[in-house]
Amino acid sequence: MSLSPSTSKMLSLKSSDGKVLEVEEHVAVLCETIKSLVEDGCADSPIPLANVDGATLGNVMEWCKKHADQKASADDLEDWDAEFVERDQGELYHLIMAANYLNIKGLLDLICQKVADMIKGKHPEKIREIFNIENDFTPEQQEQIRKDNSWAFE
Amino acid sequence: MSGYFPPEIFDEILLTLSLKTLLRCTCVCKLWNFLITDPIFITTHLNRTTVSANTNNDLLLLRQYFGKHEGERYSLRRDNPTLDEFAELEFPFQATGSGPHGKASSELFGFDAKSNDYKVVRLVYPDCTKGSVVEVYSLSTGVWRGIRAGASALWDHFRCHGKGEGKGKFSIWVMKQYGVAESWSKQFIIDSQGRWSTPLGLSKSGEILLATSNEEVVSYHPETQQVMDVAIRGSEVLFYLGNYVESLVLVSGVLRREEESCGEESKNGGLE
Repeated sequence: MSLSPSTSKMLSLKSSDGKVLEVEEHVAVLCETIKSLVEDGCADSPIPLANVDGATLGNVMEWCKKHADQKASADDLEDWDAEFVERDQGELYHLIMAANYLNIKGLLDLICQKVADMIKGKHPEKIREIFNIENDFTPEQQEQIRKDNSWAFE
Repeated sequence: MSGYFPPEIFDEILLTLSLKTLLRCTCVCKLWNFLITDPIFITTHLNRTTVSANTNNDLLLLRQYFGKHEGERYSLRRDNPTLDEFAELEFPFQATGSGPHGKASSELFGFDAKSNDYKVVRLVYPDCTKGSVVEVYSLSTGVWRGIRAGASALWDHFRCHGKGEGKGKFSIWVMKQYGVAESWSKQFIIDSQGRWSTPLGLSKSGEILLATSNEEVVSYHPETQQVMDVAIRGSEVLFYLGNYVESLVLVSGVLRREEESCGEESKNGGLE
């Protein structure tokens, strides 16, 4: 089966909140999950994506469109990706879940790296603040962990 | 938002973090602590670090032995021609008792990712005529046991090994693909002229580090044949130089898990 841009066949994707998105096939098949459906000939009717809401699906397809563009250089993509991940945590969370569900390794790696960068080099207090996590350790437990790994807190 | 990530995604995020950041993260909340100290996560993290360490490892582990009374000393050394000291290490445990074959000649310490356990491996010569036997000490069980394996299994832990070629010459063998025994290949033949004998390892810049019969360590450049004293002293046969890899594996963690499983065994002991 040819998946080249010249075919430009359109696929309909239906989000969890009922929005239907028309996407070029060569863009949509960056999602391994959709690619399998296309290859099995099951992509005729709107493809229901029960775990992805419309807004997130739009963001995901925006990423796929950019990355399906043969003319985009590696540097260009890198800059574009850096801007793409500048989002609030809620959006990042939905993107990670969607990239996992739709099986888009490139996008999943990108967002995982972004979240890791938010943790990198931060102290526990700051990490809790960023991710809105409640500290459920007792002061004694906290002290013990710090003592066991004191060099990491210097 | 972290609490809602599927564990496999959260692992992917954590695996990109440095050891220092991960240790700090154990302090964030109980869930993070649980995920980071999970034995499967630790093993995955170690495997990734071991793979990347092939290209970006800047530290070497050096063991020096100063005789019965002074004992031994472990230190981390920078991987440069002079092996500058980076930090001294407190050796975490003493391999106690004697093995099935008596006194050992050389010992090596390392972590076995397959069994999640720290081990000491040593060569023992029970009888001069029969050659060597390999014994392994496991930290989790606290006992020595003999293994029926040739030297090849033991040297799997090394990337560089010397082999006698007769008349004071020896060849240096390098394991090109770490952990693949078939990838050992002969790199150089060195004429020691009776001055040095035991190869310890290769530095990143290509020098071979050798322990000499004068109880010193020298670096030897195979192309220029230049020899340099790196000012480390100790008995020739008892040096050990290994690659240093950061990991989350804690010696106390191995011991703690062992205590827990021992407890379970004694509880179930009556049923067997």
